[in-house]
Amino acid sequence: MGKLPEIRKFLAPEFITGPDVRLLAGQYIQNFGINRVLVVTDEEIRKQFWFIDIINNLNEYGVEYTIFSAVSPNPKDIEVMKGASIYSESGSRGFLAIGGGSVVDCAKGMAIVSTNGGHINDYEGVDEVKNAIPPLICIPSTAGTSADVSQFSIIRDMNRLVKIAIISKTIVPDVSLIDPVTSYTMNGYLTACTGLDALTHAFEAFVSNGSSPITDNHALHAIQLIHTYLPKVISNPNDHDARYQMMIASLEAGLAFSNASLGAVHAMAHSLGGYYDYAHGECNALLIDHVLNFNFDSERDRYKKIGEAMGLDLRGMNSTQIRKKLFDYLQKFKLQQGIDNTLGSLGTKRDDLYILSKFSYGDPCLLTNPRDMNVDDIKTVFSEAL
Amino acid sequence: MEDNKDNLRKKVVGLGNQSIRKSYYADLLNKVDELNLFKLAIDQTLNLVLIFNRNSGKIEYYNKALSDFFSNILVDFNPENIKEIQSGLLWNSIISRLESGYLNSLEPIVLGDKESKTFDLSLNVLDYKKEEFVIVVMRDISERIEYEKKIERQNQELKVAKEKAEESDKLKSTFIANLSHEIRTPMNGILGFSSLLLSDNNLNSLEKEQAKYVYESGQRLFSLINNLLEYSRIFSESIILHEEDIQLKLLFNDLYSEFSPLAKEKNIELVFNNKLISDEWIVRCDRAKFQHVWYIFLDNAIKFTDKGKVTFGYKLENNQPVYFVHDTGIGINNEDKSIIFEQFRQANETIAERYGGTGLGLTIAKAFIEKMNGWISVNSEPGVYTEFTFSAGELISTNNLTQTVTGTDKLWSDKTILIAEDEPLIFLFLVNILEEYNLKLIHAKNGKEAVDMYHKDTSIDLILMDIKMPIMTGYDALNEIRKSDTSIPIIAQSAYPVDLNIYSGFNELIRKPISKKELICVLKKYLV
Repeated sequence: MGKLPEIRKFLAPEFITGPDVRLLAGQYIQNFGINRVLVVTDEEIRKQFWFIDIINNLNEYGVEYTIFSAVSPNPKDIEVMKGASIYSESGSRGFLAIGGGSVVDCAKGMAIVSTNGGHINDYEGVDEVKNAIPPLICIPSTAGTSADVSQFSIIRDMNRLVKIAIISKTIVPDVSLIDPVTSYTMNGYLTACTGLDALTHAFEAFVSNGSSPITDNHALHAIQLIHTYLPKVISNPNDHDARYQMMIASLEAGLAFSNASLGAVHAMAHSLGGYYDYAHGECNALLIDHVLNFNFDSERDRYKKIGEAMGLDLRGMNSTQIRKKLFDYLQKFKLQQGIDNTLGSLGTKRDDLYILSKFSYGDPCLLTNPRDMNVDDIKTVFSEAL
Repeated sequence: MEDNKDNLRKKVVGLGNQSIRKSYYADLLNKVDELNLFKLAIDQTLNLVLIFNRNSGKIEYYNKALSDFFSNILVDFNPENIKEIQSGLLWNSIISRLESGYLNSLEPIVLGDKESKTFDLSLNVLDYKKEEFVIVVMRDISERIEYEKKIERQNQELKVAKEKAEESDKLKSTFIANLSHEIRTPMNGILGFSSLLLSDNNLNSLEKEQAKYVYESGQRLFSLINNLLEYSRIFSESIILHEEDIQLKLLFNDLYSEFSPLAKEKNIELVFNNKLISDEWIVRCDRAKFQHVWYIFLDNAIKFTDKGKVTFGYKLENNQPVYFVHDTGIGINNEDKSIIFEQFRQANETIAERYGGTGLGLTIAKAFIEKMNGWISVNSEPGVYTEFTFSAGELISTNNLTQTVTGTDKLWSDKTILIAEDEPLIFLFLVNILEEYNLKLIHAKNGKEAVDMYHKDTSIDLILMDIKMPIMTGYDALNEIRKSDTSIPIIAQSAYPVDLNIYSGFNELIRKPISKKELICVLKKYLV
């Protein structure tokens, strides 16, 4: 006896995939009727060859630009506000975000403030952004946070030292130019962290209580691709095909989680990032297995499917066995990509766990976790990850 | 050109370079830019701009200038309806204008709570999306109004100043006129009676000599006083001309007899040089002033000549008479030629010392000549000669004379003259002059008596009317008499500056001091 399907929506930007699609930036900006953009990026990316290509492309199309590159890995609210004021002072009419999730999230924050006014922290929560943002074109350089296709923006509130989640359809970018060439210059650590982030997205979207048949397809496919190609990229960073596949994987994971939302891993990773400023991808990696342990019994079938997508042979196993197999596999997988830390080794203190748990409890990502968690539950999982 | 397959395929999968989903965006941005520019323009203008829905009064837009004007620190200015602005004052004004149809009435409107200002109001009604909207533009004219008020005040002040100046002028004129009368009356006495003495054949030569001295002194004094008075008059009021037709020959005869004693005294010859063909040339000009000019020139000529002769006369140039006075006197230096005409100026101090004089003569002569549309010029060689030439008035070449000197019928024993004169001295003088004519003379001491006497005595043939008299002036008396009698000759006699327009109604005007000759001429004219 099947129950009636729940109502689900699916929203995505226009995205163009393929090598060198970053060079479509000028054309797309021009077609919006924009004569001046604010280019949001970070210091590292400014140096890359493929970044300079994009700037040349803008010049070709006669697009004027101002560059804002003071974005930190966990973007701060002050950076958002600074960028927003530069946006209006420079007379820019649109945003071009070039970089990883932090850059895209920061650009989204600036875009919100530019048409809604006030302070970025005012927009914490779901559907709090009333006015549409100016045209936002993204060129992601990681595989990845996929903020370039998502309805999320995560900003660090420097007063409370938490990461706030802003969730709104209005901040889904207009265009994403997904060019694998931009990922060629990622180092091993960044590749591993962002790859695990993508994996977490896929995991959480699949077991989310907001999942849909559409998001499920993308999530599972993403898991398959990541488990196959992430190790390849780690061992051979110049494997261009693997790089491409990872970008596709990240894209699909992004499409999935943007619409199905996330779960406990991200809720907890956000409070860690807010408080300790740890790299987001790494936080996810350190929690994904422990949260799986906690969640497993609430979505046994789905976790099984995940296992199968990762190429595990789970025939004839009972749920406890499957859970253990998955847990072990994840631990091994992490190590294989070069992630060998624990929360404890990063410097997380047991005394802080309570406050961290409280913050996580307020994170909207927790709403779609397959299993309800209270503050104590969260604390328990945190301590296991220490 | 046909798209090749590859290109078309590319477009089908949405990778064409014109594959745009929300293409309105570019247009939208342009429109927003335009709108912002217009808003900027309307916001930076100092005029107050307001747009509201005509029926409901709901405000669609108001610009910064309007907001700034009505804002105050106590209350936020944020009206949704025009009726909220200044408790409906603006709404009422506008609606009444719309209803009357005078959308652009020039009447200004006063607005403002904290600070009242005056505005020029212009209205326009337009249809938009099936509704009527009113566009209000108000221009602050407070400063202009202030300016206008200031100008108005200034004009008022000027007007008052002008009135005061005019009054002061009038006072001066009256003063001068009074002075003139006060002086002329005794002068009349001195000159009149001393001249009578001179013509009295019963005096011995010493007595005659003395009488002559009195007369000549009187003349000089009179001339000086006249100059002073004329001068005052010139510079306190404008010169008024009273034109007459003058027979030049007669005038020159008089001048000759007037000045030859003076010349003889200095042992210089006085010559009248007439180069005209006919003796009957008539000139139309102001007799008194013309005569005065001659007096000044002749007086000067004789004064500044120690030996030789003074020649005067008239010649014809371009069919107009040009007058001249030529003397063989001390002459004038070239540099001094222009300054001699300046008031109070004589050529130098030595002249002033040696020759006396006030320095006013030539100034007056020049002013009179110019008023008579004439010109003056002077030629001189120091130590040899000086010649003044001038023109004045208009030549009327006619033989019709307004004055005839023919006929010597001195007997008017059947005629009666009423003399209205408040000054006994003058009356006495008149009696003396007229004695030989056997006229019956009746004396009225004022205008009222004159009128009464006129009505009482029907035998009066002519009235000699003094102007300034107590109780009733000669003018009023004239009017009274003229009401019933427009034919009786009434001759005005006056010492005052005369405006002939006022004296119309009189047949003639005789100026005081009265010359016997002139008086007899006039009587002859009217007592036929």
